[in-house]
Amino acid sequence: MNTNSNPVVVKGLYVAFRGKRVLDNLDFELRRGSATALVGDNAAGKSTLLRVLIGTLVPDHGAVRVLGLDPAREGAKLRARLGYVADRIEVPNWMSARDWLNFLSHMYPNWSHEEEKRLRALLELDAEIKVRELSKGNRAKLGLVAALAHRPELLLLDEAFSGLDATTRPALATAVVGHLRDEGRTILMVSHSLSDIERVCDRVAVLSGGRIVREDELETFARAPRGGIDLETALRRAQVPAEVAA
Amino acid sequence: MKTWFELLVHDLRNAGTSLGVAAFLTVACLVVLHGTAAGPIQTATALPLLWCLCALLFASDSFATDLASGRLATRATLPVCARSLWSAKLAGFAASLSLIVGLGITLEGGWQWISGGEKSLTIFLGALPPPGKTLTVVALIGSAGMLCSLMVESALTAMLLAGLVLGALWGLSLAALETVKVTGPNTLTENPSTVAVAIAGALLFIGLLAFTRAQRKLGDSAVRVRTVLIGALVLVLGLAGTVTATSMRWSTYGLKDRRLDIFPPIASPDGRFIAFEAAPSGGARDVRLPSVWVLDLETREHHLLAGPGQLTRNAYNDGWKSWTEENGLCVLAQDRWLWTGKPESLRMRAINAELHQESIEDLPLVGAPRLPDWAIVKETRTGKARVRSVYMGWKGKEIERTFEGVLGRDVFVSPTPGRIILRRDKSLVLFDFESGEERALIGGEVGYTSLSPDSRALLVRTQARETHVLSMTDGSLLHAVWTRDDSHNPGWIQGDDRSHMLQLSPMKRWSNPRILDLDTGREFEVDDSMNWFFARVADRGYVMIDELGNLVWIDREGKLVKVLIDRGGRRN
Repeated sequence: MNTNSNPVVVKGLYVAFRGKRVLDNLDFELRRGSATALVGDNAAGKSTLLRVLIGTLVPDHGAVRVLGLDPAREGAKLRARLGYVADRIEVPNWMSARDWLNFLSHMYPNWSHEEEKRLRALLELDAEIKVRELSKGNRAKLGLVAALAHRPELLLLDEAFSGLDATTRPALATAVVGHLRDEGRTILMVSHSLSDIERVCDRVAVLSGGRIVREDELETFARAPRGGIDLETALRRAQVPAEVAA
Repeated sequence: MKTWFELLVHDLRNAGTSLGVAAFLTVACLVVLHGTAAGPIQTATALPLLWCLCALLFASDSFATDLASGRLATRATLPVCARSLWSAKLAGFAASLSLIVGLGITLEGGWQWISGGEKSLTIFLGALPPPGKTLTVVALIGSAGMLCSLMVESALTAMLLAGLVLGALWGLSLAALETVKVTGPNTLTENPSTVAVAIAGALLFIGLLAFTRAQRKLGDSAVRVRTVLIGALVLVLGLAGTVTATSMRWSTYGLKDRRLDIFPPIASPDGRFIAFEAAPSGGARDVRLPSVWVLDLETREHHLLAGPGQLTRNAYNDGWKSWTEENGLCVLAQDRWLWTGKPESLRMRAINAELHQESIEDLPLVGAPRLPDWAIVKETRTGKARVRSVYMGWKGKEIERTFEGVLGRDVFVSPTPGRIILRRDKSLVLFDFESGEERALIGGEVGYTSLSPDSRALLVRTQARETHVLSMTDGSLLHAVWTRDDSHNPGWIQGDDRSHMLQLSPMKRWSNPRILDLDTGREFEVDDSMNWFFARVADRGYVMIDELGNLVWIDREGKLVKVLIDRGGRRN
């Protein structure tokens, strides 16, 4: 029986694609109410880890519990309780943002139309525009509204702000995600942007060589590089040999 | 349920383009048909074909486009399980097709109702294929299309692939049917709709498996393809295994099975035994299917002489239908599997009411038990219509003759060396090999000819409906010429190695067959429950297949002695 109350608990996670190792014996926990940035090099396995957490990728080995559920077996139930913003959202051409949100409102039992309305207003998202005609930034906004309107217990952001322009990003990060943090919800955010991380997160985990090679408070991370890993380097390169972290 | 219904509505809206195309095709098809003055039967034929095409279109578009655009990946993040997504797709396919079918029937039915004749609507609805059959075909097409749609990222490619899959299934089923014909009755082939539905179900199950696995391994497209390929392989092997497991060799099936037809028997010279052929209903023309059995009249014991695939036929005989004192019963059989190269021709002899079986390895397969030993016959076609060339040789005498012309069906070789009777143009002549003389036998145009079972007499019917029975030795008349006016055609009763009995087969349905003993001139009518497949069993009487398919033995007065093989038909 799992007695760990942390919303995400990962032990000995191993994922390989066609024999190529992506995540290798990864151990990771997310503290309740924390906002953690997951950083690492391209193809380090950050998105793969998120997909394992939402249950769209069943790991080859390892134990994963998210909100007390096994994503591989109870994926649908789990996804109803978490918000996930992918780096890309693809919907049929005929759909407007409103159509998509309406469709989603039938999928999530906790969907709040008031929250959806509030978020749309906050993000200045025009719901009548066809999704295919939305700019990259507006698509990101739509993804955020979709992920947040059902008030998820856990929010997983996969480079959610990457399409936003420099002026929108800070406001969005602070207003939307900050609001969620204030409610004590847990956030795991994949990002390459130091400023986004600083605005949203209080912890940082560095993924390299298929493992979490360092996890620390953001302040500690910035103040005291350990094992040769500091945040800027991690964001710039993130190609740290696993043994350095030991 | 509400979530699932939303998914269904979502899928139906996604299929809008395909639905539009299908609706346009339906309208266009009907317009073209009515433009060419097609009737309700033509439209009732064209629409189902169009529905099959639409089924392929909808099924092929079910996943391919979503896969290519990444929509499926987006949908995988929804709080619904893969099974719900799959079943919604399936329901979307069914709903789309139902809409198109409904549109076609409504449009055409409406047209027929408004502008057709009094019964044209009824004719149209009556000419539509049965719903069960249509559903079976559509299910097969749909399942193949959906499966292929999971493997590729283009609806068009999926359509082509599905076409290939369906073609392969068709080819496999043909091969299976051909195999099953030889291996015996098979419950699978007797229920093709059930098999088709089962295959469709299996394809859908493979699709569901591939889809759910892929949704759990998002980003690894090989999972889908691998699952589908392995599933298809298992399905084919499973089908082959099921066909094999449910097949029974005809030989082991037993003569009482009504799916076997029993053909006219022949009798041993002493009348104790009969030999007969059995073949699956409708399969008698397939030389691989018949089997030859021998049965003891007294004990009713029977056993197999040659099983399916073993009987060898050639131009001069059909492998076994002659049982003479001199030659016995030669069953030209070979090993079931040709590559072993071991012919197993048999000779059965009835000696002192006992059956003796011997192997005749030296008997050439292209031999003819009915061809007398002295003669060599080679027949060739000349290339001219009906004109044949027949080479005849006399073994040991170095005499050869070649006849050319319109020679009729047969050149009749007499058991008496040096004599043959042949049809030359419209007359019948006796040819003497030694002297080379030809003698016309019958005045008038010859119609039907038939050699007696012992080859010693020739039955000839002229165009003037006169019946002659001629000696094969010298062409003399063996019995008085007669003309019948009661619509009975004469024919030899097979099997007793004598030229004494004729069966008179009725030409009219309400007449019963009759039997005529040429020696005594005695003639009697056979019970109306008997048919005309007689064989005489010496003094014991006759055996025949009755109208219920039973093999029965009647005495010389036409009274039932014994049902030899009761095949479950009711007899009064």
